[in-house]
Amino acid sequence: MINAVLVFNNTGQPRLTKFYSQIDVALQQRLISEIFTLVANRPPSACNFLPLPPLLQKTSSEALSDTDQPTRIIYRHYATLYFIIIADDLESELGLLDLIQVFVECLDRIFENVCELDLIFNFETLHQVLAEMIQGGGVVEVDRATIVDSVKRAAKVTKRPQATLPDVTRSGSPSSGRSTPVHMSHRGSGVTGIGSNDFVWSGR
Amino acid sequence: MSSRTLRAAGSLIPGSRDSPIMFEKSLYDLIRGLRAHKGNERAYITQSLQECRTEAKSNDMDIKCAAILKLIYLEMFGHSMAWASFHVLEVMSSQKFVQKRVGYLAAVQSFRLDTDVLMLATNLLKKDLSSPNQFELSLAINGLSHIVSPSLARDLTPDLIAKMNHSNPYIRKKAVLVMYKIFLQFPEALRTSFPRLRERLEDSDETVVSATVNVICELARKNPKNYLPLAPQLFNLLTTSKNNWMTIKIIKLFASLTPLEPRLVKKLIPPISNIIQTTTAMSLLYECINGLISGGLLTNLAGTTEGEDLAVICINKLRGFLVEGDSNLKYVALLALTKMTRTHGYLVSAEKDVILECIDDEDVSIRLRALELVVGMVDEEILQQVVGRLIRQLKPPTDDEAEAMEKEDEYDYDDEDDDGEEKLTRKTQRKGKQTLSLPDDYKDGVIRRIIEMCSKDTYANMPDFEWYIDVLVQLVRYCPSERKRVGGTGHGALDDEDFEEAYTAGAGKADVGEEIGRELRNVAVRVKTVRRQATEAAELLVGRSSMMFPATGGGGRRVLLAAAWVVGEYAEHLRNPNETIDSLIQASNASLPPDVVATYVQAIPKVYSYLTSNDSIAWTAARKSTVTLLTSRVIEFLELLSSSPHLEVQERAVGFLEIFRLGKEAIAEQPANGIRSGDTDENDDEDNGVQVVYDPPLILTQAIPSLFHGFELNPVAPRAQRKVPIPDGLDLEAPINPQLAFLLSAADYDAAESGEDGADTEADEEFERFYYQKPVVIAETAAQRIDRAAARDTPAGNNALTGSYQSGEDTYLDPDILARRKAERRERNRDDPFYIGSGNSGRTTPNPLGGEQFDIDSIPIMKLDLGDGGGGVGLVKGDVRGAPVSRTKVEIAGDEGEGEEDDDGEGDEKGNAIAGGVRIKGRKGRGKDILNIDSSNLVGFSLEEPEEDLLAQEEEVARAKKEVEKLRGEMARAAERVKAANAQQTAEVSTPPGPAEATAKKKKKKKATAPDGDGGGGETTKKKVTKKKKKEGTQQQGGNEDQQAAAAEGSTPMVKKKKKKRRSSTAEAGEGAGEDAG
Repeated sequence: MINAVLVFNNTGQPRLTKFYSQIDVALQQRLISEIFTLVANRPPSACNFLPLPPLLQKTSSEALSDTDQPTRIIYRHYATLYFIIIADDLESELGLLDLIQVFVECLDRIFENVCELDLIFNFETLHQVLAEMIQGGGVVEVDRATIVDSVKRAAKVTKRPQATLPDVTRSGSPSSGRSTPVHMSHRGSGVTGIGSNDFVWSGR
Repeated sequence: MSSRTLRAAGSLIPGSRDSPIMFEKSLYDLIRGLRAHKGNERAYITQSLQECRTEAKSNDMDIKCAAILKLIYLEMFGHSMAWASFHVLEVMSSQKFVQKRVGYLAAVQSFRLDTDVLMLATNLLKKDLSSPNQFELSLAINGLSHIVSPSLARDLTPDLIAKMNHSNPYIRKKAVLVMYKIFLQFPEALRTSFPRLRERLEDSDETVVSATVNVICELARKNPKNYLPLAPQLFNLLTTSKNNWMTIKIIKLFASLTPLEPRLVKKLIPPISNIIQTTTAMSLLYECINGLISGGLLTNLAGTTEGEDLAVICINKLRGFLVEGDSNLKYVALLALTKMTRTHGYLVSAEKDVILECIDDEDVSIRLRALELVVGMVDEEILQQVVGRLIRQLKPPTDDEAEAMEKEDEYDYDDEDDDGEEKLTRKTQRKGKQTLSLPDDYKDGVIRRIIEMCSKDTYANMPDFEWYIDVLVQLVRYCPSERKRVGGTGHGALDDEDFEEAYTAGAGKADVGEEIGRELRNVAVRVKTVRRQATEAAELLVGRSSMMFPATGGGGRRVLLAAAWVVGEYAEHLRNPNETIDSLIQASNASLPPDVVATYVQAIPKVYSYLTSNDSIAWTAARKSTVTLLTSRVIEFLELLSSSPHLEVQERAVGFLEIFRLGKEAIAEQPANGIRSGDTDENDDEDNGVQVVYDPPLILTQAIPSLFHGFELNPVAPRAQRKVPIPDGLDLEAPINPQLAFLLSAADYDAAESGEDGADTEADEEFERFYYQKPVVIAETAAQRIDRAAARDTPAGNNALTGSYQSGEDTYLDPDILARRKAERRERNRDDPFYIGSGNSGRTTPNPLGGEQFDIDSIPIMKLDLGDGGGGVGLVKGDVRGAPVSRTKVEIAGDEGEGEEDDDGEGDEKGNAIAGGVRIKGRKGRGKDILNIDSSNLVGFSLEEPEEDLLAQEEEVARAKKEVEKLRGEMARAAERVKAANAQQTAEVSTPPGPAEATAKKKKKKKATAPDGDGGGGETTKKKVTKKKKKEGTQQQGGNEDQQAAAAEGSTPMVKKKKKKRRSSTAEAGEGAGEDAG
């Protein structure tokens, strides 16, 4: 079970918070800042797994007795953004790494050269993409085409072509983050050995 | 506002086109505003929140929706929108999909189980779940997966079960997945929906199958037994599936099933090894190996050739992960190897070359994993090497030898460490070195691991205790500075608030310094052969405490707690007791943490007594004045502490203060040799001449030492007391003295004795820490010993895996410690015929060529003390340093009272469990279980309705029917009787239904609670029964009651009253049932 999906930028500003268990808003913020502290201090060559932050730490005896505890935090760093998944041990670490990759690629397809600003101004779309992938902590879909298709078709229900929406915001947005599209600068070494380069899940 | 903004806003907020003039901020404006107000965002947010409050109340759905969207955005930054839940519900019920979607998103992000509008959402969700639009439908399902509550789950289960057969796989997969959330809240749904869930395993759409596997995987972890029948289907999927994600889940699922069905193991091995050999996906490969390990497959096959082959394949693959160079693979490989050490330790140990490399990996996560693994596989051979590597990590990155020498002189490592923290990172960055600035908790963890490694199984792996003591002293210098817990503010480590603070700060355990101290003490007590060295190390720590541990929170200061105890207890081993007592009674010590000071107070009289009790030293004037001076200084120090705000310190100080004052008096009265004075108690040895010889005062030679000399302290298992049988006739409950209160009030007078009690608690503490340790006697062959001695003195060179670690020693031990080691070694080897000294030892090897010059007298004759070499204990008496080679056996004292019963291990576990339990309790209290999904409902939940339940229900129904029949008859008779009575006397007032009704009520209660063991089905039957009873017009229990009332009174209750009673009892019965269900 996936416990939470978080996206925040290099300064710790949240861009997406999705908790699959109901916790207090203040605790959410504390958790985010704790994870941010952990993640911000890591060198780029470090592995993509974080130790548990103090808030989630358990003594060993508890960890053994209680299997529902979140045990792993997986992150990936793309340009200005950190993508974080907190999960328990029924999820595969390496699999979740790819899941983040799928998420980012879907966003990239929808926004075409996605950057942080797209996510800020379209955070509802961000939630929609995530909802197509993960529902209530379980993974529903990992195929990029299907996910993107669903999001786009749902947008059509609004009688307004959603595809133009990113362009609108983009043309109007300040160009600060524009030069570094997220997908261009993600860490290439992160998925060494995990599947081919086209990141289609089922093809691995 | 530019047209661009309007367009953007319009596209986000549908309907805004209809109202071209917008006064309200759209989300877009909000975000832009936030970006424009950098610096004073808080004020802007407060203002925006205020606007949202009014906008949310608007009648215009568009405005309301925009407000909610803004609130969701702000919620992300920690501004709760719980207050808006009703408005969220309004938006959710909007006709427009876009608005509905905002509403659902808001619900997902902000609703909690206790949100009160949740119960109003049932109909809305029901409606949306029947929507023909797949996206509305999916919206509702996704929303439900977040906000589902027990009542929502109960009400919506039928709708969702229907959706599991929806024609569109897009809906099916979501409906399947949401069922897990439903089960969590309403386990009964599992029984009704399971057949359909099972069907989904055969679904034509792969994602639906995958979702189903996902759900079953989660369920199976809670109660695997239920899902064993699915094994064939799952097995089929495993062999045919091309979807890696699903294969991973299936393997995880089988890992929960195999412990229950060992026969699965044989069946699973071929397909899994096939995947391992063929797959190109690292994640799948890893999960296969992981599944083999955590599913117990390897354990199950342990011993068979098949299992061994498989294990070897796994290890080889994992080794591949480690050398691959990808840090993620390294990390997971270490995780898997850690799990494998339990079953295949020897195979893992074979890979120690690559694993040890990971200890020095630049990634702290990997280091920690490797460390965990190494702790499990460390043995006598590699212990020193591993510890050496770790200590080198802790060493501040100043590899300049000269600087190190400076440090040696100054002894303020921790000070430098503190304010050098920033500098350190800067420096390394400038140098472009790969060194990371190590976080304090990492250092902390490393030190704990070192201690854990070394002390494992009561030092089973410890090859050299003197080395260990040096390591401990070195570690004290590398202790990270104390966080939060600054001595002198609270009541020390035992203070609750302090403790809690430390706990929340993530420390959780005892201070590292304290841990190191415990080890030092442990070694001093258990290993007699190095007691001297341990004491000297403690002496060093105590002696230099003011420099090593500055009052401003230098790390590791709490090591003094144990060091002071060792210094006191083994004062006879002190190198320089005079200096030690000087440092113990320094006035600045009063600012140490109170529990440390308390130990100091206890140690002072011990050292004092060692210094003064020797009656063979002539009681000369000089001696007398020295002792007087010492005593006065001790008194001065204790007086300082006698007003300490910490009770323990104060009590001990006052107690000993009195003793020392007595001592001082006695000293003053006791004349020194050569002076004629009068009236002390012993003055036998008088010469006829002028010279008079006096003994030292008895209080010094007898009284004070007797406080501390008794039996030697040995490690005692904390449970040893339990094994002492309680003597017959001993009643532990009976008060020893009935006048307890009086005694307590008079206890002030016994302050002096409390000091001695203090010594006892000291000892208790001492024993506490042996709790988890078992006695092990380790043996070391002379050959090994010599090998090592030889290795130690080879010049620095190979730092390879085996053999020389000495070469590395000077890179992690500080120069002063090294110098001491060297000197000791020289000393030790002086009489060692196998050792060729480096300097001019004056002894030359006999030269066979120069036989003539050879002087037979120059051959050193060594006296072999055979009598002393018998047992390990015997060696203690001799000079340890003089007999290094014969120290083939180091005796490590085990806990007394252990090993007599077999249940020791069990007891240990119990102790662990208790400790764990306490911790859990503490955690829970602090609400630590965030992110935890409460699945306790599903644990042990059976798919089948328990049979005994059904039987019980049937029985109950039958019984109830019978009773109803019987009662009907009785009622009829009673009615007749009443009729007759009525005819006789109509106006008579009946007696109030006192005791009879009371008993009836009681009976009724019992009935309501007794038979119905488990809620669920039992409850429904009960309801049915109740209904039936109602239909029949005579409520069973009411009738019973009436009957009894009638029988008891024997009088003639009125029909009217009876009816009333009946009604009330019906209500009560209903209540009873309700309570029961609840």
